[in-house]
Amino acid sequence: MALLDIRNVNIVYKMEGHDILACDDVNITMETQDSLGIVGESGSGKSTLAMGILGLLPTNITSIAGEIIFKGTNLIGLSREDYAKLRWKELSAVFQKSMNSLSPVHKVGKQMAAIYRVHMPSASDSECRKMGYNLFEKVGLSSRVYDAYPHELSGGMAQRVAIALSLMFHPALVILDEATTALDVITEGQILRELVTLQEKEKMASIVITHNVSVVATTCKKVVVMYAGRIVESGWTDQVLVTPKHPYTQGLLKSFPAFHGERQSLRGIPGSLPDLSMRIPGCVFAPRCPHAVDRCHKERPSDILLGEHWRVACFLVEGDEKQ
Amino acid sequence: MTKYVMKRLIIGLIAVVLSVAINFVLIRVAPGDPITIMAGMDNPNQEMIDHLISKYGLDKPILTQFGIYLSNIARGDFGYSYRNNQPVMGLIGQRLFPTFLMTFSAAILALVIGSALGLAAARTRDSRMDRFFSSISYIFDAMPGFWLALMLILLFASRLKWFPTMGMINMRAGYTGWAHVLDVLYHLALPVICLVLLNVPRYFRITRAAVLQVMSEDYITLFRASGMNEKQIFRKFVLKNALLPTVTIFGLSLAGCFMGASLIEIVFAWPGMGRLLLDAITKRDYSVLSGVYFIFSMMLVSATILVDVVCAALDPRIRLE
Amino acid sequence: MKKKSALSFQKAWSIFPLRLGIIFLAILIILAIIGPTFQPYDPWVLNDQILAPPGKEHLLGTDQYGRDLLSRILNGTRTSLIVGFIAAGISALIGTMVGAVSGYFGGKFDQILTFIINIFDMTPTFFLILIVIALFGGSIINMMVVIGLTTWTSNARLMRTQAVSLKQRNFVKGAQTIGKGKWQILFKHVLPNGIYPIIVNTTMNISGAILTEAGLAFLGLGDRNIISWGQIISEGRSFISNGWWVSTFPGLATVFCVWTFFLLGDGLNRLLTPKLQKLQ
Repeated sequence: MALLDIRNVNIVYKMEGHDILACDDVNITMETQDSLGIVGESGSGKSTLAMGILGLLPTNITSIAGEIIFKGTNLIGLSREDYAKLRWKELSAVFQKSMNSLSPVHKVGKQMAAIYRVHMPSASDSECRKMGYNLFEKVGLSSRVYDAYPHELSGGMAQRVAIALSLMFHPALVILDEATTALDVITEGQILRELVTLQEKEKMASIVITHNVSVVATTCKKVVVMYAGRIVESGWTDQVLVTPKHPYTQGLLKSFPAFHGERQSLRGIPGSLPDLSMRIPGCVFAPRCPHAVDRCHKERPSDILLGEHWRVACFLVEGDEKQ
Repeated sequence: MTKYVMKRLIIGLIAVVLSVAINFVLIRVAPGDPITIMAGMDNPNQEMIDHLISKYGLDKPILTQFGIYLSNIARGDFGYSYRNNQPVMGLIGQRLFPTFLMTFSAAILALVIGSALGLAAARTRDSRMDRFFSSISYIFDAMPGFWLALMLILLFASRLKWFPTMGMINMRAGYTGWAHVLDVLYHLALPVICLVLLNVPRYFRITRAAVLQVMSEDYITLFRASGMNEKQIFRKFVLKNALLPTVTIFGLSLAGCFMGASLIEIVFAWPGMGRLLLDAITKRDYSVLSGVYFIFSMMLVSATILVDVVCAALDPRIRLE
Repeated sequence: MKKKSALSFQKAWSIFPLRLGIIFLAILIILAIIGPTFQPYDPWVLNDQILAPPGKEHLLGTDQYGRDLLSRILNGTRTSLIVGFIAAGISALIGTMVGAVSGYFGGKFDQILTFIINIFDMTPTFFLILIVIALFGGSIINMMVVIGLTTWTSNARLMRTQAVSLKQRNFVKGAQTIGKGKWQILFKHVLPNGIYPIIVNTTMNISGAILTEAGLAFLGLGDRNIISWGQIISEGRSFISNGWWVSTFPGLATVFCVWTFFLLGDGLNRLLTPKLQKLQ
């Protein structure tokens, strides 16, 4: 049984007068100890999807349809109480801008203890402290951090605290949402390498959400490329990111420096995201696609399988199976 | 922390000196003779002129004059009102209690009501109640305070006769003891209601905005993701973070509230600073005017410093700077 | 810079407070321009019907000298708008220039300016204005100038923040590398791109100036040669029990006018700052 099975998920933001389709028929499967990267520009729906899995979408302005089956339970429509039992114990997260992941007017330890007591209500102060010190050791932080205020920490330290927090109950799955974006390149690289090690040691699965392809390349075995709410390409990282098939993935890779030696000129993809409040009958990328043909604007391409895991939603790709 | 407070104190001191300097310069730049302005009457007698010249060193160089002026104020001598035949300090002193009574009761009530409404509105964001209070809060902001005071008198005192129209006590009854206290409260009610109505919108909006801001922070999302229930998140983390802007605004608007209260006091014939101010304006008693100005400067400065210190105590980011 | 094209009138119209504000402002401006021509009576002429209640002859009644209240209120519109616009304009002009120069050039000047602004925040502005008007006389010109001169600091603070952040942006850095002069960059790139918060703040300052004028007029410091709403309210105070209309109507006019600028400020804020994230 898969650890996480996302089936036909649609997420809609209900704005004044019009609906915005942030996730359009998303399907993702993850096994235990898998590491999956979701890449895309801002507005591609990747963070919305993460919030959907975590059950943190604002209920008054969003609606979600489909199935998110995590360890055999469908998370969509799960009661608040049942969700609360899963949270942090099985499913935890590290959010964007870790500097803001802690309340600025409370000590780090106090916040850690508060989270610990959500699931361990009877934990004493010294037990909490012990738990904190253990976690800090795992992520390479001094135990002094426990009594520090968040602003006393550097960006990298705050990041480690956020990661430590996510490991608190040895969850089966950790979602890292742009977790290293705010850091400088050197600290980012260091933390990413540590993450890979931790992940193997803790035997947990992870979803890394980022706009930065190189982050996925260093941390994830599998990758999903999202554009305008749809998955355009997915598969093994060393296949998708080395020989991308979808024109969008190709464009995305060109806008980042090459990973191995060989220099290429940096190129962005001209144009901008389509208006998601309109129904798009064809391929979402067609208006920006350099290779788009008539059909791309009219008909939605279905996934083409290249091997067991590699899927591309593009008419221009010749797959193993007949179209 | 001590360094921080010292720094604020020094800036505050400079602000007060600046107020004194502005006043000093204004008297000398204004049309008319400085002596006449200081005397507060068009034809001061020779004795008065001689006294003013020797007291303020008006025959000495301008910088010496400023030094004398500054040291007088530092010693608490705000000048003399020849109109009232009293030192300005004494005049203000008599009026301070009624003004404080009215302003503090109103400010505290407004803070409590305003932030309670703001909290409620933020928690039920975009509900009918939230929209209702958000839109009427601007209407109260758009009202000249003295006009609202007049309207309240018109409705509740003149027509409905629920409250007295003016004053602080019923002169004819001459109550003593508890009866006196109740009488004062009875007279206090309408001016306080007026000030509360004028100040609630500010606390309402700031609390609402602060709570919404905090609720949208990443750390709140993290607490939610950890399975903590909303009530606990709110009580443990949102409140303390949202408190800072509210405290800041309370301190700053307290001084503003005093000034706004002056105009309200005039309408309600409340025997406070406002009355003194109006008399000084109509009689062109400039020494009283500048005295009131100093008092308000100092109140504002102390309020600002107090706010800074309280914020520093609440917020570790400021404390350790 | 691309965002400018997105600021169409259509978009502005779709924001409810802004739409309401624009309609109300248009009404006020039309009243201020044509009001005095269409007024039923001469607002200064005394009349035998003293304190006549609102009725057929005098739509809003008359004051204690028998002057037509409607005509006086119509004339007051002009005063309020002029005071509001000019005072807030002076404040915006000084604040923008000082803030932009200080934020963009930085250094000593910036430190001194920040210090001055901090100190200015600790002075009771309304009383400073009051003292100046008491000494120099309450002509409408004095009033506008003094209000403008005492309220510019909020604009300077906003513009300074804008200039500091714009300085780091690529198009400004780009202009620097191709050798454009500092002043040229300031006027061509920094000011036009940083002006939005000033616009919003200025509509709020207009409201503030109108209320300040009303307050001064109420204290008897207004311009005696000009009709202002504050003055009418103040005069009506003594007749609140037997002539409620004298104070009530000019007050309602003030509320309407000030509220209009609040609506405009709120609407412009939504239009110009895409993600509404403000704290005050």
